[in-house]
Amino acid sequence: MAEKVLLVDDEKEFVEGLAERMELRGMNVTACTNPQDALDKVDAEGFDAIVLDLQMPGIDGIEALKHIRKSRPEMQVILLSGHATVEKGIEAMKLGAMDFVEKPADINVLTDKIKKAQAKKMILVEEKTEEKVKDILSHKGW
Amino acid sequence: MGSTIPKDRDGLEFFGQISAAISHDLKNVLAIINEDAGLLQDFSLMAAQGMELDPARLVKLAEKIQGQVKRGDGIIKNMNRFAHSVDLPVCEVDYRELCALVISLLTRMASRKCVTVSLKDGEQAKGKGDPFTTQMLIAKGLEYAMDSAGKDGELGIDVASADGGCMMNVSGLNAPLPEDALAELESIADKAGAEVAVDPQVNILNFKF
Repeated sequence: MAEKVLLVDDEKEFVEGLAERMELRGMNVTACTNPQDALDKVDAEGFDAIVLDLQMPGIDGIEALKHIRKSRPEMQVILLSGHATVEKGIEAMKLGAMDFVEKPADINVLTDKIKKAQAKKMILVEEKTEEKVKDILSHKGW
Repeated sequence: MGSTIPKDRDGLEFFGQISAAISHDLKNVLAIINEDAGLLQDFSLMAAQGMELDPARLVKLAEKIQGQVKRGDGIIKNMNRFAHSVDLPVCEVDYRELCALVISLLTRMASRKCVTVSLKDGEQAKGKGDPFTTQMLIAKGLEYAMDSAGKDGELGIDVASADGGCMMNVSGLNAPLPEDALAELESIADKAGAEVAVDPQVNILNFKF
């Protein structure tokens, strides 16, 4: 099944290039250069992985990550950064990001992380479904 | 052996802040070149498997790479000018040129704060001064002015010769500068041999060099 990915970065040319390469690798990519639009998309539809830039105008990646973890915890976030330090990456991991990639990204490494994100999301969704079924069975008297 | 504390920690912090912003911009340039070169590689591999190559697409990709090389060259030129601003403690400076350089160096900060900064047209405004400390004063002033302007704010900068020196006005402030911010600006202005003032009636930050 094609991985459904949301790619968010304010560098338009970067987003266009990376999105095309990911699509050539069979992924279903939604690209976004405005962080607020990205959060609206997260609220409106489901993604297996969200590749998110750490520093953007208005809302930075850490704020966006907090919003996603709160509203759609099953979606896996991979943070991208042009920072040459790991400090923000550690903060992001503590806040629940699945992984952290430094720019320029290696497409093979990123693809591998996206596949892992999809698998992790599927497990989380299955667990949630199982919990719901158990809950229904325990409350219904059939 | 005891550790030595730098005499001008503020200057060192400013140098670090600007260097970090430059490295961030260069990383973005490299990331775009990396993706475009990667696309060329992908297309070549696809062509080797018999898929037709679109020459127009290749030309467009090459142009994008050239555009990013040009952008990277501009960033490095600014970095070089900034690095050389510590060469002489006092020399003849063009305040308009210094201001334009600082605005370029703070592009990422302005974008993050969603503020537009524009330098109004005008002539050279030359005088004797310390280029590095002057840049630090303009940059700190703009940083606080951006905070005051707020999201979607617009700052306009007017630079003009005045009384054998230079006047620089930053308009578009929307809130008074905090007292500690003003005190910090005054301290840097003192080191730069300049004066700083805020006109609360018209929301203008003024530097006199």
